[in-house]
Amino acid sequence: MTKQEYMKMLQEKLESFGQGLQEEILEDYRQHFAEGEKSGKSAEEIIEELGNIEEMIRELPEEEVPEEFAKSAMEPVNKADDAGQKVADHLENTDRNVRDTEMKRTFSYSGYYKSVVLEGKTANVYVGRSEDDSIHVEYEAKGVRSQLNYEYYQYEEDGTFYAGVKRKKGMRDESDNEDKLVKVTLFGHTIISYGNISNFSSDGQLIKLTVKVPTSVPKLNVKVGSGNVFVSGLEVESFEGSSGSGNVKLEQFVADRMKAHTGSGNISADHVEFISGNLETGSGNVNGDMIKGRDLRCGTGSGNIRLDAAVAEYQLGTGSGNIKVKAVGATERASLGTGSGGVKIELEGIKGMAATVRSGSGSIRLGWNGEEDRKVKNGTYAYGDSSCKINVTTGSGSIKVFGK
Amino acid sequence: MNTQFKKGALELCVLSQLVWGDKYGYELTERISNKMSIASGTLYPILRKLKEDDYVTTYLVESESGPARKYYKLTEKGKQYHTNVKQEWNAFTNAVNQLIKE
Repeated sequence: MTKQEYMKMLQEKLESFGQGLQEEILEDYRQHFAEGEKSGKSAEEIIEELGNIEEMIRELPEEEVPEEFAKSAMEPVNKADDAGQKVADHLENTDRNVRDTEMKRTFSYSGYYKSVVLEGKTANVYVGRSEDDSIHVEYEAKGVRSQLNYEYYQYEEDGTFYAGVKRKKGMRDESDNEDKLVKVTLFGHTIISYGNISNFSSDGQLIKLTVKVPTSVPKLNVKVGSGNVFVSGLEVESFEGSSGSGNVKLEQFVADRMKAHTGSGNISADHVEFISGNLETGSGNVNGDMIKGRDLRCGTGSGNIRLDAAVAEYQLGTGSGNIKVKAVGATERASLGTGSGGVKIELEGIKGMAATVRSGSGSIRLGWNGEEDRKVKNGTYAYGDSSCKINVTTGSGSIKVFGK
Repeated sequence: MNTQFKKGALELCVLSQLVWGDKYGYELTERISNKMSIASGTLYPILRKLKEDDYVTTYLVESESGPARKYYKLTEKGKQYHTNVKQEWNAFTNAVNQLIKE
C-alpha cells in the first residue's frame, strides 16, 4: 500500500466523524509521515508503524464513533484473552437477519463481589441464583428499529459489580450518571465490557436483563424506570429494589434487610423472609404470601394491602385502600391505618391481645377465641394476657379484629 | 487485550513521557513504540482525548525542514492526574505481582 492509498483509506474511515476530529487526525498522520520520512523510513515502514486504522478508530471517544462501528468495536472488548481479567464467556447470537429486531448476549464473571447493582431503565430485570461462583448476565432485546438507542454495560468498581441498560449518549436522560462510563481510565474504574443494545424504539421494545447471582454476594440493588423487577431463589444480606412505574415481585427470597419500592406499580412477595422488610408503593397494591420476618412495614398511597404472614411487628398504612392481614405465630405488635378503607386482621397463635380501635364512621367488630364482642365502640379492649398490641385506625371504613 | 485496560495503560505512558518535558507527536509515539508493540496511530486519539480533558495543551513550533511540529505540554491538571493514575497503576500492579507469585 502506498502512502496515498493509506491516507485515502484513513480519510474514508473518518468520513462519518465530525469535521474537527477528521482534520485533526489526518493532520497528525501527515505529520507522522513527514517526521518518519525525515528520519529515513520508507512509507511502508511508516504505514506498518502507524498500524491498523480501525484499531485507531476504536480509541476515539465513544460518542464520536458512528453506529455500525460501535457494534464491531465492542467485540474485542468482550474476548477473554485479556490476562487476569474476568471475562469468561461470551456467547452471541450472530444471526444477522434477526439482529435488527432481536438480540441476545450473555456474559459471565467470576470473582468475589461485595455488592451487585443493576439498573434497568425500561428493561425488565430478572434476578436469580447462580449455580456456580460466577455472575451471569444476559441481555435480550426485541423491538422495532428506530432512533432510540439503548446500551448495556457492565463493570466493576471497588468490589461492586454493575450491570444495566442505559440510554445511548446523545439522548437526553438526566438520571444517567455519565461519569461512571466516561471516566473509565484505569483501575479505579475498570469497565469490563460495554456495548450497544441495538436500535429499539420505546414502543414495541422489550429489553430483558437476566442476572444470576452467586450466594456469596451479600448485597443486591436493583433499580429500573418503567420496567419490572423480579427476584427469585436468592439469599442476601441486604436488598433494595425499586421501579418507577413497574411492578416489583419477590419470590423464594431471603434478605436480612429488604426494601422494595415502586412509584405506581404493585409489589408482591411470596415465600419471602427477612429481619426487617419494607414494601412501599405510591399507588399500587401490596400483596404478601408466606412472609416471615421480624419487622414489616408496608405503605401505599391509594392501593390495598393484603398479607398472609408470620411477622412480629407490623406497620401497615394506606391512604385510601383496604388492609387485610392474616397473621400467624407470635405477633407482638400491629399498627394498621387507612384513610378511608376497611381493615381486617386475623391473628392466630397469640396468647392475648390489647386492641385499640378507632374508626371515624365505620362499624367495628372484635373477637377472641371464636367469640365476638357486641357493640364495640372506639377504644381499647384487652383479651387473654394482652401481650399483642394492636392499633387500628380508619377514617371511614369498617374494622374487624379477630384473635386466637 | 481489554481495550479499556489498554487505553488506560497507554494514557499513563503518554502522560509519563510528558512529565519530563514537552514532546511532539512523532517523538512521543517513537518512544512508546520502541518499548512495546502497538499501532502508533492509536496514540493520536489518546492525545486528542487528553487535550479535550485539559490534561495537555498543544502549541506549534516551526521546523526548518518540513511542516510545523505540534508539541504537547502537560497542564497543572494533567500533572495531578498523572500522579493519581500512576498511584492507581502501582497499587494495581503490586497487587497483581503479589497474586501471581502466590
